[in-house]
Amino acid sequence: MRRAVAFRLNGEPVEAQVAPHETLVEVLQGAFGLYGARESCGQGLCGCCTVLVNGTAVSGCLYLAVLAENSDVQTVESGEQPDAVQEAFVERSAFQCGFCTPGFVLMTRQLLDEYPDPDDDTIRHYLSGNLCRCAAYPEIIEAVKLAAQKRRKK
Amino acid sequence: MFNRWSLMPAVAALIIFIQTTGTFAQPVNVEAAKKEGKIVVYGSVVPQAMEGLHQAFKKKYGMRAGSVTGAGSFIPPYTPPDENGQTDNATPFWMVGASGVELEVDTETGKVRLMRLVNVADVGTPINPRVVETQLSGAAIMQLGFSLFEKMLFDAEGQLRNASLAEYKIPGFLDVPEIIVNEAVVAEQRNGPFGGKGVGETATFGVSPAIANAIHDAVGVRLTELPMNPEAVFMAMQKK
Repeated sequence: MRRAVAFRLNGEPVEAQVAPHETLVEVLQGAFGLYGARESCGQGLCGCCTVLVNGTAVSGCLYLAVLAENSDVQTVESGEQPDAVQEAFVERSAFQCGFCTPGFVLMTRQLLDEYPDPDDDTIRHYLSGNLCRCAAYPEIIEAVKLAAQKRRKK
Repeated sequence: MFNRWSLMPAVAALIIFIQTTGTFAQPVNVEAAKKEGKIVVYGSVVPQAMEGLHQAFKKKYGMRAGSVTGAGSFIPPYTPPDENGQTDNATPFWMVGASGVELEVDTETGKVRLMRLVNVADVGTPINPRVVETQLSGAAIMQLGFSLFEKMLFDAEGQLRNASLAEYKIPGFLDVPEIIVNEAVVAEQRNGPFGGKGVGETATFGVSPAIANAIHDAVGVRLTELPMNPEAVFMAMQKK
């Protein structure tokens, strides 16, 4: 029982045939070949599958794709590539394996929209829903601060 | 020492890569490097290969740089253990690391909070210092998880009971000590490439004993099992 679901994906109007049980991550990967959001824990606990729906970060592994109808979906693949946040993560080596990085990048974009010049504590609390098994946390704090600087210059 | 390296095309490729991309202002002098005991390349693959390599890169990648892959083998010196199980030559290198922590113990709940974690390691010559630091800090924080809260629980049938991130907690942002310092000491591993050796787990060795010692110093209980979670610390304090 698939049905057509239309939404905006990274600024473009799109449509996909979606089964009721399919999650947003499954549809992004299966129908659109976007692998930036990836499922890790499948319980909304690790932040690897983070996707922005109407500007708010959601866990793509729990968010049913049919609920995205008529909404604006943004993945790490949206916008300028690489953007200030991605550049900062690369420059500060804020990862080892990189599996969690897209989630961190999206949350950092949202963090910097809200707090253009965040302090350490704000960064820790804002990103505490994202897990990094390689534990690149100290480098991620540096990267977020660098990204904030880069954004201010632009 | 040189003949221990039977064949090192990977290292040869690396040298070619550095020269080709012009990352270094001075071309790598293989003979000088050999004398220093840093890089060892068997045969004379480098000068001949250099000529066509710029073109090969350009053809494949459209520019003078790209990925080079190769395979090589390194057979380390080894002496089997004697009848007492002892040998002075078991591994090409040993990893040496040390850690120090500053922590607080909540005597009502047994919860341990780290304020400062300092890790130093002998990694030989850090070839990419930034990556070395990330490796040390990542290893130390991962070990912090094993030391303080990560525990796999099995039922009577041997089934893992907490196989999810909801029940098996790994370190998150809020578990990282406010101050964390990672440093590689000045060292050279003479039988390693460019004076380097493995980094990986070097920063994990000291973390658990440092935490255990600090807990002992703080509340006078000696924990000898991991994890040193609030329950373990609290029960040990009760028994005191």
